[in-house]
Amino acid sequence: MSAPLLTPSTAQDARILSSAPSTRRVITRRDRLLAALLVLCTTLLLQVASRTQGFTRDEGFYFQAAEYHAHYLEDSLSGVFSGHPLAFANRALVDRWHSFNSEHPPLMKTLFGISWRLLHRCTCPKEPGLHPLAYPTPHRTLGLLSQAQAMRLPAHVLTGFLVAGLYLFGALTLGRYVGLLAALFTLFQPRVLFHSQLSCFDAPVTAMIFLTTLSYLYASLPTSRSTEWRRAVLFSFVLALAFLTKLNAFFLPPILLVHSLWLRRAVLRSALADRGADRRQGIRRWLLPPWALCAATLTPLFYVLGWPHLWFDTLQRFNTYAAFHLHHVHYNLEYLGTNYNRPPYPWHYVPVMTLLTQPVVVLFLAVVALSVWLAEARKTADSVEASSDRRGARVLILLGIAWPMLLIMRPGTPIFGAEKHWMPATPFLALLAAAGLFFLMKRLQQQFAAHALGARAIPLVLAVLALLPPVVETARSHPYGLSHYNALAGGPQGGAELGMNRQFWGYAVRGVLPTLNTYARHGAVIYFHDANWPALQMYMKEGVLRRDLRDSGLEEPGVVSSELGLVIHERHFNKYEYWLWDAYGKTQPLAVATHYGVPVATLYARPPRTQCPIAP
Amino acid sequence: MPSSPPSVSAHVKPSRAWLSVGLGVLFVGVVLFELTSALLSTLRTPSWRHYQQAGALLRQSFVAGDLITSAPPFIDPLVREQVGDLMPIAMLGRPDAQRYPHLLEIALGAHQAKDTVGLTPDWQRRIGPLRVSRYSQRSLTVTYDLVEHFHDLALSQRLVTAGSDALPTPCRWQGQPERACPSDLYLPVGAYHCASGRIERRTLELAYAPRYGIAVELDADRETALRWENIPQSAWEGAQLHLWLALHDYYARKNARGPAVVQVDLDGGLLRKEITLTPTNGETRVEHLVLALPPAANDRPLHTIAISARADSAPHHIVGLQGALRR
Repeated sequence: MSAPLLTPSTAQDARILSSAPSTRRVITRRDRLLAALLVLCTTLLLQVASRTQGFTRDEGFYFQAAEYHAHYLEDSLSGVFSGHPLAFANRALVDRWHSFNSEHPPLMKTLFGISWRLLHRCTCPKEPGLHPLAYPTPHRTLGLLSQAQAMRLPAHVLTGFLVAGLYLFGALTLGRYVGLLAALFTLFQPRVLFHSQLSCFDAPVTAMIFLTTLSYLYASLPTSRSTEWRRAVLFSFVLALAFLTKLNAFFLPPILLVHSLWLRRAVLRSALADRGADRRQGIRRWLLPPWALCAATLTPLFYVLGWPHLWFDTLQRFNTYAAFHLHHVHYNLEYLGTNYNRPPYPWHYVPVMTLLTQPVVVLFLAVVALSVWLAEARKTADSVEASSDRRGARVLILLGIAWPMLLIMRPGTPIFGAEKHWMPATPFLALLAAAGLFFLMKRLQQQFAAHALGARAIPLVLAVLALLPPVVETARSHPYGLSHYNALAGGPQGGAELGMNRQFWGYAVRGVLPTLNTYARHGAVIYFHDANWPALQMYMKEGVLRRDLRDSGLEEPGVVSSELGLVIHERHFNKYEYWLWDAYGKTQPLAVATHYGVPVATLYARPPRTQCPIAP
Repeated sequence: MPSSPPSVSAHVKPSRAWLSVGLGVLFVGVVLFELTSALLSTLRTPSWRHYQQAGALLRQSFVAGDLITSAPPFIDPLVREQVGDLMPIAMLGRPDAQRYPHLLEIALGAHQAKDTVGLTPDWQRRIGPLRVSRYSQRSLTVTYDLVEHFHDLALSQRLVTAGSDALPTPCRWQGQPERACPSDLYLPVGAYHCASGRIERRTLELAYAPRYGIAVELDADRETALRWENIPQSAWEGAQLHLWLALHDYYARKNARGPAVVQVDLDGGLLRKEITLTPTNGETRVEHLVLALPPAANDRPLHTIAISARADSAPHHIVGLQGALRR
């Protein structure tokens, strides 16, 4: 039986909850060890995988911001050592280092910066023009990682925490088998693995939203009064970290509160049965459990404290931040052969993309679990209290799947990043799928109970079978995770035929850089299309792109003045390829980078004077 | 304490054996389906060598005037990597395949280009997952191509708000001349500049596909007119006028509000036709207009096609057009 999610704040509550299971799930030392191992293995896997992963546009901006944030911390520390301990709160200092990219909260950028500052192998003085700041002397660092790997490490570790958190969530609610499988289902999801490699916010916020939900679960477990408040404070802190990671975390607290109120409706019933002060107290207790009280009071405090940019003109700056996202520009996204760049967006985009990008076996198992849960819910509808704990965990998982998807399914919500914007649903979907496999395993064990060896082997065999397709598909998807579609779509080629979004963020240029390095003359001017300069700077620092090459600039003037040009294949980017044809007078590319036969980036070279191409 | 058995199956009543086994079989089926699909996807992916061999085979059969096509559309860059030197912009930016008597196709698996649908191949050869085919068809004769005669155009613009008797202002060429070989030209090709907006010949993006044609940039309150005068009787007689029209450039379409209106006038009012181009329609389709030409009179040895365009809610309206007299 699962742990009760209700928190008996009083003896009266405890009586109400007397039907709750007496066997409580706890986290053991072995669980903690396994969780730590999962963090370590995930981090190592992502560190290795990301060495061949192209840099994305947004990473370029965050690399810059990370160096600024590192500099802010260095300046603050210098202040401490030079007798100005409050230098960190100096407005000029804060604005100097935190104004750039202030449309996103700082947590991850600061972590990227700290990791870079401590761990990178420094050749910075030899990299003039490749950093947002000049470094005349090398940094004193541990020198363990390349610059890109150091920048990306925090996202890798945080994904490790997500994977470990999934295991612990399972251990607390549906069982360790479920938890471990959910952890691996999440890690081996092609799109999750892609985003987890990057110095961006989408995998981190997926992790933070899940970890916040886990800490809510933890804060809701019955315990002593003092521990309960300690856990509530912990929850409010984790929630603030989630807010400091990315905006979508703001949608989580109302969901958790609704879940809590529904789950603890017996407290309300009891309060309504009372009169006078007891009644008011009971209702207050129902409305505001300790974790919610802490979230309402401490979280805003932690949030503002954690974001130096908000220390001055707080309301105005927060409004600017919110307005940026409320009025976000509508980017382009191809879906079933149509390019969408303004509302209304098709509501079915989210479910169809989910259907075509999640491993099929995960979808199948999730359907199994959902069917079982619905069937059981109907059967136990009359004994609500008796099943409330188990049902509470299940409802929490289903809510975790539903809210990120429903948010993006609203026709007016800008769709500018495909599945990454409802990626927080993925860990919960993995839990659902793992529960489905657990159900199947139990049924088969019952079936083969007479065969002792067979019954013992079933959990392992099923786990291996269930994990094999996600592992294979994830391995195949690398390093073009956004071009990858599942077997239902017909793989990457099927996705291209269906007219599904090929990619975004311009990271596929990495595929043609070896040819570019070989072919371009010294100092050649290149049209890099959607790959932005900060990302190109990182390619140069990593030795992937020659440092003598120059960027021809943006749009058609950039194309016209270039010697070589590349185009990243997205439907709305077709016109850039036509610009290259017009500018170079030819349609024959020099090289095409592909993912399972689907072009992701194409490189063109202007023909030499002696070789006049066929005219239009 | 370590956990007791988890909850999922705790309340499931024992049911018939077939349900458990059936579910298990279904599960294994899904796993096999996904793994097999991954394996087949790898096997069905042509290698660079396959494309190289297909390109070499196609090159042997290619004769100037043949059309090279590919299917599905996403393999197009890979085909051009091999035989792009035989594929000029005008071929890729064609309105359709009707003017080509022979078609050479590189296709993946069972795919077929829309150009070759309904045709029987003269020959066909498989190279790994690729298929190279040659088709022949009865082609249409192009007697006069409006895009080819771009420099014969009389271009002008008229301020609509100034009344119907406002005099049109001619548009003038500015910038570099068009060249057959732009290898040493690091400057944009010139264009005809009107009082507002410009008219140029280029590769258009109409409904996300390439079209080699004429781009007419519109401004509110102004009507831009294109006149092909002196079209010979020999080109006119027995032909039809085919026009392909849509709004060019996805970014302009995204920002455009309201339609553009295009009016076609043949031989000074003998036939008039108006068509409305909306940004939404331009996302997915190119309007194809077929006009039967007015009968030629004996006293009219030369003919005129006049196309005028306006958009009351411009800017962000760039009309892209292709046109030809076909027989």
